[in-house]
Amino acid sequence: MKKLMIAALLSSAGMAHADDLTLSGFATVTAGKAYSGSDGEFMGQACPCSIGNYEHGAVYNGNEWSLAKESLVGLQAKYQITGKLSATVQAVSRASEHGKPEVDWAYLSYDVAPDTTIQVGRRRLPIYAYSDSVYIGYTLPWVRVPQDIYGWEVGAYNGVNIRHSRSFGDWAVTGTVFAGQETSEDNTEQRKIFYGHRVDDDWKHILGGYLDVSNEIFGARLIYMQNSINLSLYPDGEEPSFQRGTRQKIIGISGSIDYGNWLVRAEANRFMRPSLDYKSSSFTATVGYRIGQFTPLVGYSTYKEKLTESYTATQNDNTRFAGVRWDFRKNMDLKVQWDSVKDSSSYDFTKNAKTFSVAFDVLF
Amino acid sequence: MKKEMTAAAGAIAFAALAMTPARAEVAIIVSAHASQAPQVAQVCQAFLGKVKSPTPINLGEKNPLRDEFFSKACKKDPVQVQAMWGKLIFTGTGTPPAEVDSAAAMKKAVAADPNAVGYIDKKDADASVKVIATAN
Repeated sequence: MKKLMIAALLSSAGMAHADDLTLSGFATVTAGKAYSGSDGEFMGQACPCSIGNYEHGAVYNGNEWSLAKESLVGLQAKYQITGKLSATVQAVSRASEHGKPEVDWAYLSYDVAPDTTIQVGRRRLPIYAYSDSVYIGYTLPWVRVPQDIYGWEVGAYNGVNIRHSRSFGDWAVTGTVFAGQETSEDNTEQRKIFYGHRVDDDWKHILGGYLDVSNEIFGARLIYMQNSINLSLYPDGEEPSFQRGTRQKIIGISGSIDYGNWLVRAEANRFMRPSLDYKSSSFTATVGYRIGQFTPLVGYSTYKEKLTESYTATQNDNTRFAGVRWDFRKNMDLKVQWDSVKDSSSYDFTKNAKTFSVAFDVLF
Repeated sequence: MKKEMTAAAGAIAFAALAMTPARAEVAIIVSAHASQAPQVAQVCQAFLGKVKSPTPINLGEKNPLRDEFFSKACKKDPVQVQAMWGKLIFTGTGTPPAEVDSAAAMKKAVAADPNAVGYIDKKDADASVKVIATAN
């Protein structure tokens, strides 16, 4: 980080800008335990079961503490090729994937104008307000982003985005458009949370845009995205089946308030797949209050699928949560969080569970 | 050992609660040659990575004026600032400001770039820079 700043200084002071490599990283150690819910099984695991992370299929289960669901370490290398052009790669090693490093980000970034940037490569799919920073625990007030709303199975894409930022008096406005696609063979979430077998989940023709506005106190974000989905299902011992070209539309709105010691975060999304008669809506809200180094918070999140004539296997969940973040040292925090999940899905899903989690986050 | 740590943590928490830094008058500065004077809101947007112009120049983290600047001018505490910069770095949406380690270096860097903005203790201001706002 320091090196980067010196490089940036040299460039801002009009001196020669040398090629420059910056290494930085982040880590989260999360211990969690699901308890006091429904017994029985979920995807072959003894319950109570609680999903710590949908995207990577991390489920706390069986009344046992586990460090191996959400803990992760990420390393980032950024190479400043010229003053305007940089290359960035970020690899994340997750306990849930047995430590095998995954390239979450790999992109070129080019400043076409002082306030306009084009990026090409692999990036997080910006469906949600915190899509980009889901795994950067230190930047979040919670142990994890609310999973009822952030539980989508495709989290990254390969493509291009253009971002433009501008100041209008007290308000800063950023507009971004993005396009690309993602192929995920044997999608982790589809296997571990929904199907229990191999599902190839490809999102094609991704096209979307979002607008961020913020001042000193308020922030708001609007997003629209559309794509088409190709699903290839490979049930064990059966013929594979294919669903091609399912069109999807996503709209989302989110807001934040940081006023004095108060913080408020809220977000709502709607997913639509008209050809399947599928509509889901999700919502989450959190209120916190900073007291010195401690930030206690409470919140709620919900995910609902609309029951229609042709779409009957609906998933419905909601979660109440409460937690405290302790900023005990620079660039480090400790968090504890309690979650109570109520699952009223029309099929056997996780059922109810409570979860207790302790997390340590660091940036380095 | 454990008791000591708890006590130390408690003391730090108490100090953070009780400490209201009110020592210096923070002066936001641009080059004496700058033709424009950005508003304080825009200066904060640049320091927090929301916009790219003007070019922010920061003091090092050990300089107490840095936290005073962010708390008085931008109403952000050091943890909020660090979290915002962490997000910029790891999501590729910006870079934290360049850093210098003294008021003299700050004035030199700001004076040299008509698009730069920085801050110093108001009593350190001289003819090489223009004070565009103060924060108390």
